[in-house]
Amino acid sequence: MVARRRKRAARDAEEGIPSPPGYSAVPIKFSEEQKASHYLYMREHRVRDGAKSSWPQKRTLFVLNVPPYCTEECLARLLSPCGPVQSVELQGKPELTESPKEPKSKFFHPKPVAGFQVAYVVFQKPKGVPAALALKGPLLVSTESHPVKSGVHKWISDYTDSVLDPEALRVEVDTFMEAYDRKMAEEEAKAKEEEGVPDEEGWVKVTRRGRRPVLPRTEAASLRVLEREKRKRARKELLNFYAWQHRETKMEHLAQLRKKFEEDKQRIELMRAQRKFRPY
Amino acid sequence: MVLLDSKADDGFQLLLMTPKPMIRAFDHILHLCPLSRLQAACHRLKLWPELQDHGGDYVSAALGPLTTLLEQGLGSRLHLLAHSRPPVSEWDISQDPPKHRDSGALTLGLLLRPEGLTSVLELGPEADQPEAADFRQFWGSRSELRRFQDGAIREAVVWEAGSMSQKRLIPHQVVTHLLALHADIPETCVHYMGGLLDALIQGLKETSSTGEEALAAAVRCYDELSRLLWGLDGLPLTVSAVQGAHPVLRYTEVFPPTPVWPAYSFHKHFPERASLLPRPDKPCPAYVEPMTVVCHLEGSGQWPQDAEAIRRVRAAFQLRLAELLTQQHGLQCRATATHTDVLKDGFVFRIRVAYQREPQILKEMRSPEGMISLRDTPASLRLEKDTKQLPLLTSALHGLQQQHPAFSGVARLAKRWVRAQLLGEGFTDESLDLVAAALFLHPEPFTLPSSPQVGFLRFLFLVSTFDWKNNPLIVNLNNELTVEEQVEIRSGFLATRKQLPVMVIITPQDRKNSIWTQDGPSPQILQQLVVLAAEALPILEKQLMDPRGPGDVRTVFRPPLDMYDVLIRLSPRHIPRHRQAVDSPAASFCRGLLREPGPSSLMPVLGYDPPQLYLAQLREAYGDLALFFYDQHGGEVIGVLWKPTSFQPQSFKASNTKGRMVVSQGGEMVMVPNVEAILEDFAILGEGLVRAVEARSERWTV
Repeated sequence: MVARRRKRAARDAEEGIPSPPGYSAVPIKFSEEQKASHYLYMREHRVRDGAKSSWPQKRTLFVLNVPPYCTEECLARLLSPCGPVQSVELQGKPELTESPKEPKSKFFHPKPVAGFQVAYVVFQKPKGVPAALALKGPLLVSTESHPVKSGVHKWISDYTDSVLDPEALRVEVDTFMEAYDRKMAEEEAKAKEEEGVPDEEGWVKVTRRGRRPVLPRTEAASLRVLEREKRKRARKELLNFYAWQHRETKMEHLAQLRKKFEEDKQRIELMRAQRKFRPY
Repeated sequence: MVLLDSKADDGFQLLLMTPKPMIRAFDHILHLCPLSRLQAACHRLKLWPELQDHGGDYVSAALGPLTTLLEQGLGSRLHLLAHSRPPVSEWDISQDPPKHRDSGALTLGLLLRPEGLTSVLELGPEADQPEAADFRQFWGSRSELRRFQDGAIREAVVWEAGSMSQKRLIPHQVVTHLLALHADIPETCVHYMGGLLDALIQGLKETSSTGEEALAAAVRCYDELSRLLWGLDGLPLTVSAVQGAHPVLRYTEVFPPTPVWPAYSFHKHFPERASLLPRPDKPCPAYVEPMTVVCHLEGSGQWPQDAEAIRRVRAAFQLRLAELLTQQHGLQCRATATHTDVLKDGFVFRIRVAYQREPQILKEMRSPEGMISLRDTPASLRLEKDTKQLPLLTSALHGLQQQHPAFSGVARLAKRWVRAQLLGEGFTDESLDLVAAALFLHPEPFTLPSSPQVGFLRFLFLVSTFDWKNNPLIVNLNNELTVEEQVEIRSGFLATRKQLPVMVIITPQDRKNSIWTQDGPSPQILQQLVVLAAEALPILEKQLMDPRGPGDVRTVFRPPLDMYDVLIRLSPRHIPRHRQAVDSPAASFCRGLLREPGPSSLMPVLGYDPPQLYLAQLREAYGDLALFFYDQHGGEVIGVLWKPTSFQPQSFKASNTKGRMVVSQGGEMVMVPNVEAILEDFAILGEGLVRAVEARSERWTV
């Protein structure tokens, strides 16, 4: 494994495309007319032992620096000579933790403008990955047979896609609200069942529906209660009784005066520096 | 005296240390040049005794009678007339003194009353009274006998002035008429500097109006729409408040919208969604920006308490609103999940339904023990800004405009200048409006501006001389902040200076956080604006004070392009606001608009501005390598400035490979920006819009 990586790095260095350790660099251009190309940096997707990942091990390719005009279909097409591609996913940042992927609604989560992205390409067979790492390129995103829109054509097609169907929106809203109402009703029913029923240790949960009035569980409410307790305690304690209390109050007072004096000095310095009227 | 006693402002600084040149203190300035005409004026006014008194100095002799003449003519329009003579130069004792006619030009400054700006009529005495003869003799041929609605027949002078900008220039007509009639000074000798900057805020193809009427028409249409919304029945919750949240509705949109009647042959039709689409083979269609209106519904406890569910319920409201407006009032509507676009009389409004408790629900966070605490999140701050604070600011500035009609012109001209200097995207619209409002709320030591020109000069002066680092700009809208509160704000400001943004603007609704400049200018952009204002002010003042004529006042509106590393030149075919450019182009493309009202069954193309779409892509892809500068009002060039830190070689990081490539330097693998590929990307991403990419490669090294 290590030997293979060193050989690959050596081979890349011979060909003149430097790549970071562990990655292989493949040039990619928009079309034939471009002279300079961006470089895709690829490696097999690996996670630390024990960590979980959304993508199957051994068959997933991790690609960095995918240019903005390269879409998922483009990438799938460009990598298909290495082996049949199962899925391509483009993301803004490399996935750091596993997160559940829920389907994004195109009405409520419109796709943001894409910059340079990171791709996870899942092949159907594990041999696709080393074949992709051995690609020489330069890969062409837009060719005669598969033109890719950019510029004015792309903006017009984006605008066309942004004009959405209100009926589809209505259907989606209705289904969501039905599911939500059902969930709320279930929770209500469950809460009503558990009303007044003690759990295994004998504790009864205090809810809004109980007989005694209950405080809402917010930070503001708990702060208010603590404030009230503190005031009650302060009323009961004597502040001027012990000798050490006298001493403490005097010293605090002096320290505060000193602090205020320092602040005022600084403020006057600032005012003097800002003064614009200097007749001398 | 009031100023000296006031504790809130620094009276000494304002009264004794602020320079007040004539061009900045007076609303209109006029130059009389050449001075030799005053000799003829003396003869005409029969001023021989005064001429003898002044020893042949016809300028001083004529000055007094001329000023009384003009004061009498301008009457109630005038607050103060002042004059300024160039100082007499020294001469050698053995030579003759210099002739009077060589001593430059005589400058008169007019300070106008705002109330007198809109009257086109000078009312004289009744026809049968003896004063009528004096009136006729004073006004000459312009005085006419007119019958008025109360039956009286009086002498009157009527000035032709159609639009607000022409009415502002009525003093010009008065002055030239009187000087020609009584003092034999022809119009060519009078150089009036009153409305020279008006051309920059004039609409496309309009020379007689600076857009106040168009703004008033748009606001009237908005009022009608809000009446329709209040009276709408069929919504599950009735509408309780309709508030505008767009610069048009506070009268500060630089180029006000005109009613849009799209030509259907110019666009592609999308009949299933009742919309028009742009066509790739035609030039870009006209830019239509929907005016945002926030609609609050009556309170109800039935709203769900979950953020996602609230969004769905809001979407349902938007759909229902669109249906009802189409059924009950026949307006073309298009609803999406967050807003409803309504086409009414050629104007497009974007109605957003707001739920008052939504920001609070977005702020709720559950701690692991189940305790709910409220913390500001970016989403909740954005929502509060859009639905609570922006409508409040808009209505406050609307009120300010009703009190001071010149506010609109000043704010629009100021914003036009900032955007022409390619700095428009660094500043929010609201922050610039508030700076312009500060000129009206705290005009000391000047009086209130009555013309856009003088307000713009004071804006430049304020921006260049205000100490943004150590002082907050307090804009006391509606006089809600008391003196003690202002003092408290100033003293608290220094303590929190580090957490505040670099430009701090305080209003009564926003006393601590300066929300309008939170994401606002970075220190470099603010510094650039200050420097540009400091440079532009003396140039513009010199141009306006030049008695021979101002030359090209657009000079200060053209940005310096030599400080940018790469220039991307755009082709005007796909710049929809091309005609709004500073140097209005001789010919531009047809944008598919009809002149007369046409069919309105399909929604026009909304918010489609290819340069802005292009810039959004560029900023997303290359935002950490470069800064992009563009003038959104028809600019043809995008300036790109590389960020100096991005050109330093960095070690490889998987999260930081955007647009960079790996090179080996000294045996190590480092990442540097892939500049050649990026320059080609500029051309690819803007295909069709970009005409040329000029790289000034001598300015940077990789």
